[in-house]
Amino acid sequence: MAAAQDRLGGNRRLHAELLLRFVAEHADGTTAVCASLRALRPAEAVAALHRLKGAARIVGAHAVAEAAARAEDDVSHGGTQSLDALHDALCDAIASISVHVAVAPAQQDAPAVLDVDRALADVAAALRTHDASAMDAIRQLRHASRHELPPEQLVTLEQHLSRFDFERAREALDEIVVARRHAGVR
Amino acid sequence: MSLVRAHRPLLLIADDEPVNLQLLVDGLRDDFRIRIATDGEQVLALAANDEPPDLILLDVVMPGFDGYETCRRLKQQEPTREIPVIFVTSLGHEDGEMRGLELGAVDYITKPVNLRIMRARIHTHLKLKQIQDHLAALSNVDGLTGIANRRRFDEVLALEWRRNLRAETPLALVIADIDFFKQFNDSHGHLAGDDCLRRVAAAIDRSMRRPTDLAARYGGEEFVALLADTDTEGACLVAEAMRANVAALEITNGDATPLRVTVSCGVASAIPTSEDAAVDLVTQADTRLYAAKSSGRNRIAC
Repeated sequence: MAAAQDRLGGNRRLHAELLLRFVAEHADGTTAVCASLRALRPAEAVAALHRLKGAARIVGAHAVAEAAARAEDDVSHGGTQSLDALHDALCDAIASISVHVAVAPAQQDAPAVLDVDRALADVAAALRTHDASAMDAIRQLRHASRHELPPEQLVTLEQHLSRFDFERAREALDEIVVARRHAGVR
Repeated sequence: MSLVRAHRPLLLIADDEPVNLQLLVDGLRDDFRIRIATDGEQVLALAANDEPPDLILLDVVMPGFDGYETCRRLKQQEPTREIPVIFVTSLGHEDGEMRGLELGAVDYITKPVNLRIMRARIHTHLKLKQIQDHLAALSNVDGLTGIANRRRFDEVLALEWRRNLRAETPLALVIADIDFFKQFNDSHGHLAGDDCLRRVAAAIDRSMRRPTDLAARYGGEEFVALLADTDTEGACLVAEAMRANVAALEITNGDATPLRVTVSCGVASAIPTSEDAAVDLVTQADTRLYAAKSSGRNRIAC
């Protein structure tokens, strides 16, 4: 994992965030691959293994990357024998990541702003153009809103955006705006 | 012109793996503004946006059509053709790299990426693109007057002829020629003649009313205005504005008559057909220019 940190310019915070993201996205990786194979969608399974391989290389989980590469080749030729080894490598990596991330520095929160409507408008504008600044805008929104916006809807919005699904994030934001109007706040 | 932009360049990053996206977004956001696509269709839509990206980082394996097909489509479309594309992929084989470069990508980077090297490569490609754009702009501008040159005019005439042919809308052309310019040069010298050409060109350029109207130096003391979707009546209004704006400059024309520098204009407008050629429009406008000259100058002939 030291090599992975070097590739990130020694940025430990980013490495820790990527490790957490890796766990969130790929902890059930082999389960999803098996589900695709059971549904007779081998191309989907190969694509998922390809993504897992790339993500594992980025975070420095080399054993997972190698096992995923073997599984990608195996599954694309109709085999499944290598999936057990991949599963084991993935479990080991996740256990190791839990230890590693526990000592990583925490991320600093964005400074608070006071205007909720302005923060909502900023998020909407960024989502329309698929702009990465939407992540910052949502952090600002969370701080601005405090108790003014329903927390569960904010969580949904953040979840969609954390997967870079801008369309569903926009839908979630629309729901927040409508709920705010119904509550009589403008 | 400074090659350094006032604002941070805009990158479009296309990848369907959240870990990759987070890495690239977090690692590049200090240097660039970033937009994100997770499939090929989003890439095409965002690249053709009002503010197109300065550079695209494109994954190969994506849902729907893959990165290669996305690149092929980007290079087929006029608005997105010149946007530099860098493939960022975990497909490390040479055939894939060759294919990407043949499709018009400027670079091919394999994952896992080193952020510092990637940042440096992006900056290099952005600088090359800015130099390329600068040279392209220079090749379209008349060195003396600063308005479009003959080369640019010929290019836009051909494009607009085809576009108006498809749309069955009229295309108009005004040719303006400075009256008694030889006498002006003989009386005042060529440096004053150059200054006169610059001021007349600026006055003609100011007469253009729409962003699509093009004023160009046709050659010597001749200028043209190309007006898409414009009939004869509309073109005559523009020609009259050109004539009046030049006359209002009140550049003294030495001992020659009349006392001010003026232009004569010939106007032609036609709905293009497949039987005609764009050059016919030029010939018509030229014929009317001579009519304006022979009927006294400082006037337009429609």
